[in-house]
Amino acid sequence: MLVSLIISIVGKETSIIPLLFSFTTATVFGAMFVLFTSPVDEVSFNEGISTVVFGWLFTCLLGALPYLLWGGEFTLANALFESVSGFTTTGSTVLNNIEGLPKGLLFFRSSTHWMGGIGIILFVLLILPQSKSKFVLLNAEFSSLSQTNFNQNKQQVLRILGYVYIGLTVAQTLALWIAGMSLFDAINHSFATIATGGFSTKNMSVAAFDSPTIEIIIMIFMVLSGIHFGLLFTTIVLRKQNLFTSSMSRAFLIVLGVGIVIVSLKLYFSGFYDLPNAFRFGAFQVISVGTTTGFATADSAGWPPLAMIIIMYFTIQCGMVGSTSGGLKFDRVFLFFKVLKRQILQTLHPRLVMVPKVDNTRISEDVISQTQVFIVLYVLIFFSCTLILTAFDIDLLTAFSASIATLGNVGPGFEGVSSLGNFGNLPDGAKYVLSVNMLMGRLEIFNILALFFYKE
Amino acid sequence: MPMITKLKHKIFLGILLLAILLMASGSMVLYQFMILNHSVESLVEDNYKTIKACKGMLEALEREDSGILMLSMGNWKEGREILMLADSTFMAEMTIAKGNITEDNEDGYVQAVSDAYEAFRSRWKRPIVGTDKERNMVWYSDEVNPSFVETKQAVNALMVLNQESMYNEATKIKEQSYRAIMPGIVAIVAIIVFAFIFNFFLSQALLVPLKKLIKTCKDFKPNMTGFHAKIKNNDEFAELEDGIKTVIERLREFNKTDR
Repeated sequence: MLVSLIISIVGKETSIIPLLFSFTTATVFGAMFVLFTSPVDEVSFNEGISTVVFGWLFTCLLGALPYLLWGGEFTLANALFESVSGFTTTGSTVLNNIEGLPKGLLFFRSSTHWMGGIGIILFVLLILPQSKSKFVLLNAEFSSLSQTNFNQNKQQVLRILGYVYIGLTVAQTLALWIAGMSLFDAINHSFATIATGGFSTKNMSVAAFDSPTIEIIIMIFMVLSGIHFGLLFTTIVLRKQNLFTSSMSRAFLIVLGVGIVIVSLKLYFSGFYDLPNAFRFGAFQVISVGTTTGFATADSAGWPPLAMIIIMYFTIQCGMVGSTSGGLKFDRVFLFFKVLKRQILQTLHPRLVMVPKVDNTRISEDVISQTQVFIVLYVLIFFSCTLILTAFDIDLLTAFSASIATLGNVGPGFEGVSSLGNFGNLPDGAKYVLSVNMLMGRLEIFNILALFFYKE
Repeated sequence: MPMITKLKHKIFLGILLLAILLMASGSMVLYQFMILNHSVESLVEDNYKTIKACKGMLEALEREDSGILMLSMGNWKEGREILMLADSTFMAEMTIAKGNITEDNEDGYVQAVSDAYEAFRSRWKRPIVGTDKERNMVWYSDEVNPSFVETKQAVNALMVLNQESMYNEATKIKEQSYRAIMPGIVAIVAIIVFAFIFNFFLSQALLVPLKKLIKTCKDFKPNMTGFHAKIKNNDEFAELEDGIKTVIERLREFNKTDR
């Protein structure tokens, strides 16, 4: 917020007062908590969950202040929605005129992605001194499935996340700047890419730049951001090539590739684009949705049904665990199919004993059971949300796609909330519901439910 | 950052934070209302003044037209009187408009009015009565009326410029009033929330150790080895606990020596 304020002051913008007041309020509230809470060495798991959930809620509320105070298109519902969308890295926007925002506010908007991408709590943990309570909070925000493939201790895990996250952001900013974007746009788009958020500084998203070079750079970094950060670290820094030896990441890249080919060929044979453009737009859209980034270079709302279904599949599957992607996560889907295979084989051969493995590592029954429950909960919540949205007289495709796009923290849906559209026309009640949906998705559901069902 | 342990410091800093929040909110609201006030002033002084002057000029033009018609009908005394009065009014309003140039290119519009009026004025220069202009409707329709219409159009253009500006300013005022009110509402909510949270922390810092001390005092028996209220923080309540321990030890020593 401070950096956004400085940008506003330098540009003498109308967002100076809103950002200054928001910064003061955030500082005052933060100082109060520091003053009145004594440091503790040990935090119970339930305390950790509460800290994570309420920390996120409070951050989203404070994050809405600059928008609310600035006015324009920001009503209370819109400001809250935009804030939650930013911090949860969903990237759905209520704005019709993004370019009408002052630069300070645009930077703040993108920075909410960057902070939310790595996780609000992890962001704080990176700068806190070492203590036992740190790791309870790490476990509360970073699920156990995400911590697979991190073969280091927890302190190192934190550092790895930091290095990869910052490293990718800097690399992409430089690449985009060299490719012709202004430095301001390059920073904002890098924040949104690495966090797999999707807030652009342009009304037409990445399509506004109309530059294949820029699109390719963004695609590369979207894929990298959708891959487990531990794998990236060991591949790039430790040079152990885990990215290419891990069956999970190989499968993820293959599935992404197959999706790109199917969508692109369908676009070409349906006469939407010539072959190069079909691959250009098809690949971008599939990668954007598959990594839950949400940038757009074309409006996929009018694409052939097969292409839309493939994209909808990626809206559900999303990126890998241990990345900044949201959604169900590829690893869970991968595991689900492994378990399904086991189930089918056991049906055929009842005495068969088969243990699902990934890269010769046995997957415990706990993780399998957690994954299955997560998938069921995910589907239940998504259907419930769709049902609630239809009560606001929203058409079925819009409700369905908005539900799945927000729960998966993807961003764009179809019909009324398509890739180049926005959520501004939805009723205020629907925006509140979708805001809760976004938070559920970002906090991987269990954390929020654990809070409601917690007993001493 | 050094740890603040004493209650008095915590309470003081808490009140200070509240004061900072109140000052920030108050300043912001005041600032927004000042901007709003400035816009309203600008609306009245800049635009409305000129619009009023333009309306005066149009009215004066209509009366001048009537005066000219009267002159051309031979009614020179009444006609001349109306014409002079209207001319005087027009020039007065024109002076107001010239002295109130606030918009971009407004001086061009004012100059256009001045030029058109001079041209119109030259049409009804004396003499009219007793010349071929008297009862000459052709002269009126071919020379006077077009000039009159041109002058009217120039005045209307100046008026429209200021009306549009007034409309834009009014729209800005609407947005600014939102910007003035919303921070006030947000500030009030923030202060209320702060007050509640501060009150919660304060009661935790005051009531919890106090209750522990009361319970320990009530549960204390003479055969107990020590007084342990388990006050966690190193604040005034910890000092009170130490003080009570000291009192108990001194009483025990006194009892021993007394025996």
